[in-house]
Amino acid sequence: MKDDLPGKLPPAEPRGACHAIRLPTVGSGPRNEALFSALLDSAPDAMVVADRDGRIVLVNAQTETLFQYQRGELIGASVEILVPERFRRHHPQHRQNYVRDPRFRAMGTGLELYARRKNGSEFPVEISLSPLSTPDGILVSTTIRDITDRKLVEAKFRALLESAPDAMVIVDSSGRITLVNAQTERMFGYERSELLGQTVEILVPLRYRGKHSEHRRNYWDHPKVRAMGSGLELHGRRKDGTEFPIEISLSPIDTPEGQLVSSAIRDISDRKRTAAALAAANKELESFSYAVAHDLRAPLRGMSGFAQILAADYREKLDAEGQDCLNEIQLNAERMARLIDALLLLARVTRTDLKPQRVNLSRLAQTVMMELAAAHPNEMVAAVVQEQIFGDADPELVRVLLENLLGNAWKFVSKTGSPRVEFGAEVQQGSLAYFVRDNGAGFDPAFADKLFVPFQRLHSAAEFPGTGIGLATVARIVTRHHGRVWADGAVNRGATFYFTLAAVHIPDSAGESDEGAPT
Amino acid sequence: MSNHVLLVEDNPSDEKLTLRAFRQCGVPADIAVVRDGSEALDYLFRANQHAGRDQAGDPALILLDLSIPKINGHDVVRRLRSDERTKLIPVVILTSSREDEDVIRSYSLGANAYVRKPVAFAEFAEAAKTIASFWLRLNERAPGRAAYPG
Repeated sequence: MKDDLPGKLPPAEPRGACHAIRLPTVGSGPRNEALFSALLDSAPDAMVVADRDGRIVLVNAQTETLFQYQRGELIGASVEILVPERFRRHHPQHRQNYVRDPRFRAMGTGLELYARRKNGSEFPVEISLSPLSTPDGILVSTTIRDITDRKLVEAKFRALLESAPDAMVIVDSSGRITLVNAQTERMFGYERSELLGQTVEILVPLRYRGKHSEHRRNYWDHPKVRAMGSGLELHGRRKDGTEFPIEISLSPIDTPEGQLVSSAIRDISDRKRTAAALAAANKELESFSYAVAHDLRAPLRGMSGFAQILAADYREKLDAEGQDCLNEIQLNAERMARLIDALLLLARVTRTDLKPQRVNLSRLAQTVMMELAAAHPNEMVAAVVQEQIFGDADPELVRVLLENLLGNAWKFVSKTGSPRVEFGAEVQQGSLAYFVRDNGAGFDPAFADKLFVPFQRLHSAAEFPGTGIGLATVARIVTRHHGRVWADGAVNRGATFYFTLAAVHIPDSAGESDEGAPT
Repeated sequence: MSNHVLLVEDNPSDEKLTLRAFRQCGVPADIAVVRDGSEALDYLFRANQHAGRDQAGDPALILLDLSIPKINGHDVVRRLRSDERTKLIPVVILTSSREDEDVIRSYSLGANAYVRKPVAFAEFAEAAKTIASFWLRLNERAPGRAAYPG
């Protein structure tokens, strides 16, 4: 290139040396002229060369395309022809200033520049200037790039950035803030201008600043999309020095200016407050359950105990009705004790941590059915269990679930001719659903949605005793496993209770596992 | 052999029921009653209002409720287990709670058994009978000066 384009070098310009263009010296021959012209025309940007008075002496093909002029219309014209009318008055002055101190530089740094087409329409441009020394005097070469597309992308990017719910801060490799959105200003209480160019530590509490710049440098060694300081409590620092809890995610961005890091910062004060309130409420619920367990049972024990003593020691002083009354007192006390236990279980089901394992549900159902058969020796219930059914569940909770469903089934077949209770699994609505089916009293489908509401009973206590909490407990357990529970049934036609568990294993022959044991 | 039992119980109804259940159970027991954790420790360490107690020696069994005034049941067990004079006396927790945490804590601190009081008196009486016959008859006590006074 140097050999093909001999001439005087423009003033040394470290950053843009490769942008410098040298005109061929007069009389350098037609071969060089053609080469030079081809070179100019192949440039992606419009290039306009003007003399010190602003008259255009040379344009390339891209200039014609961009400004929609013919080359002939431009040569000899003033460069102001390409400047929007509103800027034309001051342009010659700028031009003269440049000629006094000619060096390679961008035009109007920090300003939004526009160019004007022949038809008067305008478009955003980026312009760089460089002086050309020729035997005929100094010329100025202007490279004009149409940045309409880039502006559009930038506008979209900015709109996206400004509408983000999080504070977005973009930082360069030296940790300086290059871009923030409006949310950042609101969250940290700074004006945008106070942040741009500062190191990002301005947003970090004083006590973490030293460590932070260290972490920042480490991030550059392995830049990838990730949360900052996962598991740590992070805080931001507002302009007024106050701090607030935040969550930050980082992602590297490659740009022509080098790699940047974009961080999305979320103020989690509200979430923290809610979590704290929830924890306090749970704690309160826990101590309430504890109080219920202790303090409500004691009076019941008194009622039951003294009624029993009265019935035993004063038997001869009471007639049959009096003895029956004492019996009722005891039965009610015991019923309330069962209610309290059921409520405690419901509370426990809600607050215990899940420890899911692969559970052999077939075996678990068999065990529970054997216990039920032993507890009701007078009822000859046909118990049917489909083999090799597994599920991912907390073994203790799923046992409570099956105890409730199978216990219910046992209860509701007690008045049936040939009672039958079945456990199995089948595909329902595309996913595996476990079921407990009985041929007992059933229920009115109109009330199906009430089945799982606490204390909602569809049968009188005289018909079928119960606490009204069992199915609520079942629903709570299924919900905690991210599953669904529903029921099919009709009066005197039996009932089927279905439930799903979020991650189910289709029965296979491979894993014969003990009840509750992980495979 | 001494059938001296200390019952730590603040609920008067539970106290009456427990005394009655033990009276009916067929195993003779000499039951002393204290009504809070602080008094229980005074009784066992012969302090304050129980400073002069010596006639019955140390109990062969302590029946201890967990939710009792002043010093709770767990702290009573802790104090008993950390003192040479009382660390071998069997302690049966007799309570309404079935919270896992209570059970685990009781055993960790050195309780010998954990029984949840049944609501139905018939079951309660059965529980009392089992406790008395096991701890007062079947169970072999640790030999020691305290258990055989004088």
